[in-house]
Amino acid sequence: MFDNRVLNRFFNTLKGRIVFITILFLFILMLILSLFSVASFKYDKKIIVTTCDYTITSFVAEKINKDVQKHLTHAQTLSIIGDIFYHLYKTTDKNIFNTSTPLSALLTTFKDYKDVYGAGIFFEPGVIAPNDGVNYVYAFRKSPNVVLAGESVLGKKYNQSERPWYKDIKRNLRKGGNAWANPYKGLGQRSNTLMTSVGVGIYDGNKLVGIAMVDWDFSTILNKVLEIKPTPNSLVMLADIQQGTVMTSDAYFGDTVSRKIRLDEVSWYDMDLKNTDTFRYKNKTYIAFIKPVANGKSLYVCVPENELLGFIISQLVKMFIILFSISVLMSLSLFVVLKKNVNAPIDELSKAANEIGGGNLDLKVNIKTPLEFARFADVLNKMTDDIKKYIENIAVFSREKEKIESELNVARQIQYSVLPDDTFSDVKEFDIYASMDTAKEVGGDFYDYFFIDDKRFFFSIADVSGKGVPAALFMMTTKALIKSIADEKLPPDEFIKKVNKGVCADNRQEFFVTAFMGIVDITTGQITFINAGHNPPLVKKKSGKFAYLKLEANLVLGIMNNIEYKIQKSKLDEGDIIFAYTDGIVEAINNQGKLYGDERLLNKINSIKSDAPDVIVKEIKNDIKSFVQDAPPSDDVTMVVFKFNKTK
Amino acid sequence: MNFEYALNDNSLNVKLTGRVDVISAPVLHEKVNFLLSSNENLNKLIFDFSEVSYISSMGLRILLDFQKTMAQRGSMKVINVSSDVFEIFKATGFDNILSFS
Repeated sequence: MFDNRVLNRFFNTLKGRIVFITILFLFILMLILSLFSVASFKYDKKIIVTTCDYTITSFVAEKINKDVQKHLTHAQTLSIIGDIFYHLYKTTDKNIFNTSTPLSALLTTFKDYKDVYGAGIFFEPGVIAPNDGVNYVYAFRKSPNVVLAGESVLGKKYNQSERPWYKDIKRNLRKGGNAWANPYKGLGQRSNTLMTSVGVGIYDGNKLVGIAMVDWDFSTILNKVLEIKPTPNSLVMLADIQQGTVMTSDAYFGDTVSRKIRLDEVSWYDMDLKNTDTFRYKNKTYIAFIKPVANGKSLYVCVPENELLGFIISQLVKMFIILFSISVLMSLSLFVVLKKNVNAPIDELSKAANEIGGGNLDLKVNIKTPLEFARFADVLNKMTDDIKKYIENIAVFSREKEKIESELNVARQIQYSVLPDDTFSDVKEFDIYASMDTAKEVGGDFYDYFFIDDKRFFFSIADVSGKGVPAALFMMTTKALIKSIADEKLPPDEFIKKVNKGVCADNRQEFFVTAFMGIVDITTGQITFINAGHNPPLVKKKSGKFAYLKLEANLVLGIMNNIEYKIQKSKLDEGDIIFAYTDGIVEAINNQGKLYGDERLLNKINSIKSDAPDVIVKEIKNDIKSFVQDAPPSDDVTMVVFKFNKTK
Repeated sequence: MNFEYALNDNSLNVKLTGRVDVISAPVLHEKVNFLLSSNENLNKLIFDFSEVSYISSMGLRILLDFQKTMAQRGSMKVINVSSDVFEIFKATGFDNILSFS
């Protein structure tokens, strides 16, 4: 079966649409032309009808008339001879009369009647009584050059009054007129010839005394009639209305031409046709052209309408076939042209695009024409080149990036290496555990702890504002600065003042550092807190819960020189825990953009069963991890947990 | 954090809502810096903290940065600070660094 989808797909292509539009256009053109043809059809029909009417029928009728007229003229000439002879006979000696007198005159004229068979003057019985007993003269053309004349031709006993032609003429003759005989078979050697005669009367007063006649082969007329054949199935006939007879072509009646048919045998004849009329006969429409010929005879030419109009129709059909062929040809050539000029380049371009997509960037598309596709190919080639360059750039870039990353890794190792990893597990007085996780390779947080002397233990946690390499560099110098100043063993307030001075000294980048520090006398549990703008640590007194440590407010390090820092002193009891951290914990962000927050931190830290610093750090870290999930770390996360065990 | 601002002849009034932290502070920094650099005659920068619930060290750092910039052009002020947030300014010592009213 026919698949609609194939057609749909075809009409959705450029090619299909253009071909469709072309066919549509040609179809509309054909429609307009056919409307025009229908309009012109009536006009064409009129022209053809006129052609049949005047050119064929009238022309033939005219020709026949002319022939008959010629014969009639001969007959009239003979009638004058006959008339003279009759009057001579009446007024002169009847004894001198014999047929040789009019015969010589007849022969003189007869020589010129080339297409006439015979001519004669026939007197009514008893009108004249010639001494030889013959009351007619007759000349007969045996062959073009041999003329026979006299009584020997017809014989002495020839009695014209019994002949049909004489009866026909005599019956129809009026004075001053002429009459035709119906066609009849000749005598003797002319028994196979259809003859006709035209006669002119010779009168004595009103009394017909004789007939001058000319006879000729009727087929000369009939042939002219039969020559009329506008279309194969036309009906042509010569009808004698007065006598009700008709001569016609054999095609119609299936008989010889010599057959006389009564008019009432012609079924359509009584339709009372006008000069040009249409009638139906045996399921066929005919157009009749009728012309009177002579002596009550009429020429009928009846052409089947479909044959008459067939010409016009066949012309139209031809035109349509030509137009249809043109549209098919145009569509086909358009199809071929589009296939070659549109489909082929598009195929080539898509193939190339596929191959380029597959990784072959050395591919060059080579299309010279059509120019539109050549431009497209140029663009594609340029794109390929650009991609190649871009890939090379990326390669260079990623090599650079790798280098930077590996350098950052080294930096990270250096940064981590400056953080203490000794947990002083051999010192029973306290446990300490710390951890730092940077958001990037390197970070701005740090912690530190060390013994200042035999009994004083220092620990710190700090956060350089900012992240990454700048913060890391600042962190390194700050940590080193704190360590070196701590070694000077200054009183805490002097110590922190000096640290701040040091941080301010080379700080052109507006960094500041928040720091929380503690100095514990491990023998007594006395502790000194120094807080420079850092978030307060959580402290758990023995058997209590973690709570924020109340701290004196001090400015962060690195902003202002020469400021005083308030120092706080306190005392640690056995089992007290200090949890110091940077705000990277509470500001850790998860995938939903939520912050870890103080509340969760407090809840979590109070839910941890163990008092061991390393356990606390690990549990908090795990909780942060499970909170942020796979969100990228937002800030460095650092914790220092100090647990005081006992005084010495 | 929401960010609204009103720009008069030579003063920029920035009203913040919510938290000024690691997420919002860089955005605030970028936006205000853009306004400062595109309006050279600005000599007064006011931060309205009436709707601010928290400020982190990152927020403090950008305030400090604006403070340094405005010190050369005119003045910077933080107004309508809630007591909770003011605690943070106090804890970090920023209450002595910035001007409030």
